[in-house]
Amino acid sequence: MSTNPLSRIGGTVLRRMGSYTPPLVMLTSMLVLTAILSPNFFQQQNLINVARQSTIIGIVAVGMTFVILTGGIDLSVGSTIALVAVSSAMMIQSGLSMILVILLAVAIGLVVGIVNGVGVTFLQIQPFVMTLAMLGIVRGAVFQTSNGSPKDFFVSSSLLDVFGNGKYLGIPGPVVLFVVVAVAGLFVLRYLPFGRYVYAIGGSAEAARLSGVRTTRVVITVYAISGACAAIAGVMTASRLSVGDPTAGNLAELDAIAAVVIGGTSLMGGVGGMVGTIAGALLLAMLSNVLNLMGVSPYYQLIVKGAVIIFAVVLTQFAARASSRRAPRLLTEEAGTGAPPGGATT
Amino acid sequence: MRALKKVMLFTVALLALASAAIAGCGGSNTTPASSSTGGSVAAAPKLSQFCGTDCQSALALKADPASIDCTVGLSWNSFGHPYGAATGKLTQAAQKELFPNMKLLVSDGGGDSTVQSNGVDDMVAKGVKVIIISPNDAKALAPAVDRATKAGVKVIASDRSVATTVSSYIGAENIDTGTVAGEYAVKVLGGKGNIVELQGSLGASPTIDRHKGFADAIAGTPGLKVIASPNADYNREKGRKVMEDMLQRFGKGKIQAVFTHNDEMSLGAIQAIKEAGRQDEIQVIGIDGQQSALEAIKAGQYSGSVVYPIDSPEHLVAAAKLCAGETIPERIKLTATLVTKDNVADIDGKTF
Repeated sequence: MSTNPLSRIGGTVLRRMGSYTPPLVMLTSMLVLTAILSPNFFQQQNLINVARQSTIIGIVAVGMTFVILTGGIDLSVGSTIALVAVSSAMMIQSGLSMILVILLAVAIGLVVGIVNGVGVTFLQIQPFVMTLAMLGIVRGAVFQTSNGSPKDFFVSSSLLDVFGNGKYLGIPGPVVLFVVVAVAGLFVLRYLPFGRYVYAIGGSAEAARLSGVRTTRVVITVYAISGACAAIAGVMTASRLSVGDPTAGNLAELDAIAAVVIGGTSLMGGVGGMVGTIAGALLLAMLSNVLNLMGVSPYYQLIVKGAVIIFAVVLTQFAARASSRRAPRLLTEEAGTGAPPGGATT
Repeated sequence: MRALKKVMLFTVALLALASAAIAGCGGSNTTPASSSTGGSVAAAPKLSQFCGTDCQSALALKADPASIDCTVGLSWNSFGHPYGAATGKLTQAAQKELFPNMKLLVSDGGGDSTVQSNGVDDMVAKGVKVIIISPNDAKALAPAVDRATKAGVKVIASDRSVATTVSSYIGAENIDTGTVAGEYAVKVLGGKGNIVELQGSLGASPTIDRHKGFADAIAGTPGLKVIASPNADYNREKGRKVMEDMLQRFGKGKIQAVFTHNDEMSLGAIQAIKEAGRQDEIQVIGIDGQQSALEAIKAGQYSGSVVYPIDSPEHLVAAAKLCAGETIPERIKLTATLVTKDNVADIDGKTF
């Protein structure tokens, strides 16, 4: 780890690109295929639409990546989207200042995430079970607060436009927000010690703990991040449609997990990263857009989406196996499991 | 020893919490909504405008409303969706207003047939005379309904039918909502144009019925063509997304109308159409007539929506008739009613 920093960063980028090859290859080949099948796709308005359509699942998937990298999973994000959408709609309509609404919304997401984290760490409940329980609890809370009906609001503000219908230099606000969240996620995961700890815990929680990582704190934090990301997506859903819909975000957790998995992150934890997730989210949005443009029947769309997930995972595993045969050390570095002791001792 | 103590303390705390929670929930699960003795009461209970001539005569109450003092149970598949929530609210309000001496027990199925089934059994045990039920599943609730009937309770199916014998089935037909929407599309488009249909959740029975009703209604008009029928799961966000894609697929002037299976999808589609600047060339027609849709109709953004009526107060009046020993027909049909700018004022506040 004592090489000159520039070449180290260069090397890292190249090596990291290696693990992202499958999702990026898929994204590129999808683009080529689309160009042939559906000329409508490349119209500027449509590209903007696709970018915007990817944002809600994309932002949730950024948070989900942290959780899945630790070997966990967060099934409660869809319900959190609805909770935040409904409660922020009610807060906005009641005349609360927009900044306060957004802060409270994120706080709600953080609370749900921290509860998940505490359940997973202190109560030692398996992540799948804990977040499945929270999926139900939070959705119940949504129906309770909204009485089951969508909460419309008729207030607009420039701040709300960032989350919903605003445009900056022709780029929709939600896309700007997605880029900001994704870059922040990428930075934290790759350049902060915290990011190393996340990979380390996914590699082996026990080994990470023994080498001095405060695993409990890190795990609670990743669920909090996931909750906060879902909260941002919730505010976006509400401001985009001017309504807090209690059924919003239904099954969003599965789409987000799909984006992460298509992006090459392993559900076992420790392997994967943010660039793949972003590519995965774009791929999913593109897929449904293209299928709609081509007029594929909704029944077939479900089948195609499932097939793409299988294909992506097979491709990722194939690439991983191929590179492990060629350079086993490289893979461990990519996976990040080699890094934590370094991070912990510096 | 210390660890054991900790664990025990923790368990006790958990149990205390759990029992508190259960006690709290139990309160809202099966509660008598009201049993107050009221003051002045209208002579004949007023029915909604969705109750046509046949429905009106079927539900004419001969007894004095104040004399109705039986206990009625309302078992709904779920109060967790807007239609269910509004039904619960309207029925409770109707009981207070129309039958002050009636006792109304309310039970939420929570979208689970087993829970709802247990709720029905509880009501029977509490001595209800009539149960109004909207089953989570027509077959799954049939045994519970049979048990109730055997115990001497009269059962009215409301909104959804039950797969067994009941005193009456009251509600609108989904297929009619599609038909009325289709007839309106023929009229508003002058018999000519391309239509995009946004379908609800795949395989759901309202989706199938609304689709069929619409298709049948426009079948006789060769100038009308449904050029695409994607699904958007009855969801506003998805309605907007899918409509964005449709607007890309079919350029300016190629879509004259959008027919959606519910208002939520319509409201999403309207936003997409507005953003594409094509609101002047596309008519949006939907189903449900929910409150926010009525606002959009008033604002001139939404051409028309077919009200899928809530069965209140009709099902409560039917229950009152059974309490009074009067007879009601096996099927009481509510009318699917089109709302446009012309009659939106009459409908306002009577939907969900």
